[in-house]
Amino acid sequence: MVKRGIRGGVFRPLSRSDIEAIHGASLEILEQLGLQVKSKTIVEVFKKGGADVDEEKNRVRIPEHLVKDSLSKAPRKVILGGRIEANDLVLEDGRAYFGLGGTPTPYTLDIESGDFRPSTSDDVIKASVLGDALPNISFVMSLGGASDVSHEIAWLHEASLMLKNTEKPIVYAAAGAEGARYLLAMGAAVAGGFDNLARRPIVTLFSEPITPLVMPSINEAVIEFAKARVPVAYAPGPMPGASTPITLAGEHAVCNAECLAGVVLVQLVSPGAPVLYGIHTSVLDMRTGSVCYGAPEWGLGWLIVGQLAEYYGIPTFGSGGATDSKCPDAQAGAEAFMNAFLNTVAGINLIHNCGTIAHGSSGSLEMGVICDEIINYIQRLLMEIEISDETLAVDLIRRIGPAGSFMAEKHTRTHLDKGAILHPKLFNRQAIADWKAKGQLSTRDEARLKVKTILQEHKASALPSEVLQQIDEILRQASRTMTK
Amino acid sequence: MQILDELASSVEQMDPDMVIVLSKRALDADIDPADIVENGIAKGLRRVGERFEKGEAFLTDLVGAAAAAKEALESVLRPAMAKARTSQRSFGKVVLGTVSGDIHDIGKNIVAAMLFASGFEVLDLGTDVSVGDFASKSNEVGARIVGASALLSTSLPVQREIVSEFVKRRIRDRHILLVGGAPATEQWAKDIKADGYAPNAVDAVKLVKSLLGLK
Repeated sequence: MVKRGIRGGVFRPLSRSDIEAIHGASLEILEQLGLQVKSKTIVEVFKKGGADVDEEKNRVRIPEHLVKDSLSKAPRKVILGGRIEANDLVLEDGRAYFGLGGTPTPYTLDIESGDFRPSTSDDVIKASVLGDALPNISFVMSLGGASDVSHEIAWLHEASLMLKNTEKPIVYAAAGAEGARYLLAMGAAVAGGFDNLARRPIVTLFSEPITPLVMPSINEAVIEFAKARVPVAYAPGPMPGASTPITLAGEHAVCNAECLAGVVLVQLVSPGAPVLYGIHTSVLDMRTGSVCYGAPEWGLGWLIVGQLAEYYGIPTFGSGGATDSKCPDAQAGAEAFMNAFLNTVAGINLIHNCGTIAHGSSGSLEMGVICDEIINYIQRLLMEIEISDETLAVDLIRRIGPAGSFMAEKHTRTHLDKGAILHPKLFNRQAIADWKAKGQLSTRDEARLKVKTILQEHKASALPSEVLQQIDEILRQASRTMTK
Repeated sequence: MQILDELASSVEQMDPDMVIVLSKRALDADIDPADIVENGIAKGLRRVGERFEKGEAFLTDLVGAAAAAKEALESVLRPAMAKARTSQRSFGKVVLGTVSGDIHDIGKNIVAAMLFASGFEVLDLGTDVSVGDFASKSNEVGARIVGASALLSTSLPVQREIVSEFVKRRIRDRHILLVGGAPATEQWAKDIKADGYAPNAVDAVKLVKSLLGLK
């Protein structure tokens, strides 16, 4: 049985005419201004597809009919495959799944020293094991990064460690067409060939433009994934006030245009190929220059993205669970919950960045565990409130009567089993005396213990030795062709 | 002088047209262009920097003031200095750039403006600057200070390559190599054997001054 995520998408603050106004602004940008495309290969695809191309200036202007046509071809529903079917995800109407980490962070918050240090391959392995074990984490990206290998092949190396250490789907970036071909080859090795990879993709590409309105040559990776009919999440990361207007509306007008260009590119290469939509509405803090992942505007942005994607009928790649705090503290909990929750109620499908702290510059395994609990709460919040004779239980109330007790009733037990009450696994509800007797542990202490237990006890099942050999051979080949 | 005060204020208010008008007016009043730069333009930039340090100004003020100053410098004041054969009084030359593979330059531009405002001669190599260009240009102009900026975690390792390149070319001891950008840290600077790191433009100026033994 595949994993069917909780249904979110219940909060839609903008009116339909608001959404149409953003759409209209984006169409105007695409048609009149266009994008600067820094790859001849990508320019060629747009040109053949009927876009208005100025080859001298690398400018691609996309007419409305091409956008409409592409949107009509992009699938409404995308399935991601795990190594086992129970890990498969169905991305459709508001169904939410959470993922650990993101693209590589230079630092890791060490669980022993409690301090930051450069990330290494070992951190990527540990994060993948943790992501594999945590029940509410449905897909895995990187917490940390492999700073111990040459940076030209670091992404591939990190992807290989993830594929080896989790049975859940992974989402990752690729360095241009060549990096994408290697990443696809790795995915095919695990999935059992390219056909199986397209049917149940264990790898999704995360690619982005350079806001405002530049498609760099590294985006050629999108073409390779589209050809293989493996999902592409095309999701820009603007810096409002610097790379877009500072207003949410202006920011989304620009980035929606970029996303639509990504959708058009995928559909021109391979009609019907899966593509995910998303805009990382970060905030550029005007006092520190930090690009913030835990800001309220981040969550507001995802509400807009959720409504735009619903209007277009395409699944989404989002981000919640991250924090700008430097450690798992009150700020971290508040920010992670706020944006994970807002992503879910916005109807975002793949929500990454659980465990990412310090505005995207560090991973924290402890925070990953805390996010798993936060997701528990979110799933409970979105459970349907059933109103029926059974749940109103008036007959039961009449039978028990005034001053009676419901504790020994079967009705109570039955509905406990049905999830009437969520009992947290990490967050603490002990009485003061018990809590003191057990060492007065903070949430962070508890999370650290849980990380240690998981790392000692959990292991994804090993890939067959011939698959491992194939992956290592792909890496060897990549380091021959991609490093200087 | 009142006109130089007004010029400093127009820089602070991010008003490029007014900065040009006042610069021209100051030249018409026969004020030495080097004086106009030092006590007008640079003074305005320094004031924004001070307000930023106190949390009273935002990045947008720094960038806006720097852009207003740059326009007047390039179109009015540098040509005037060349004509009058005077030059900016300088604490020394600084070469700055964003490393290869990276095109982010907001932070680097602010650092350039603040160093200029503090009396350094700044040669900005722009973005996506190759390791070789960092070494050859720094050597060519005799820059005591070289600053390399990176925003991406994938371009950060290039800072290490720059240090190696200076060592390889046997020019390492001639230059002070500084690193900056979101993913860089003090520890990273130590790890790659750079000479220093600063988290923001105001601290970058302090760092450069202290490394050169200036007040």
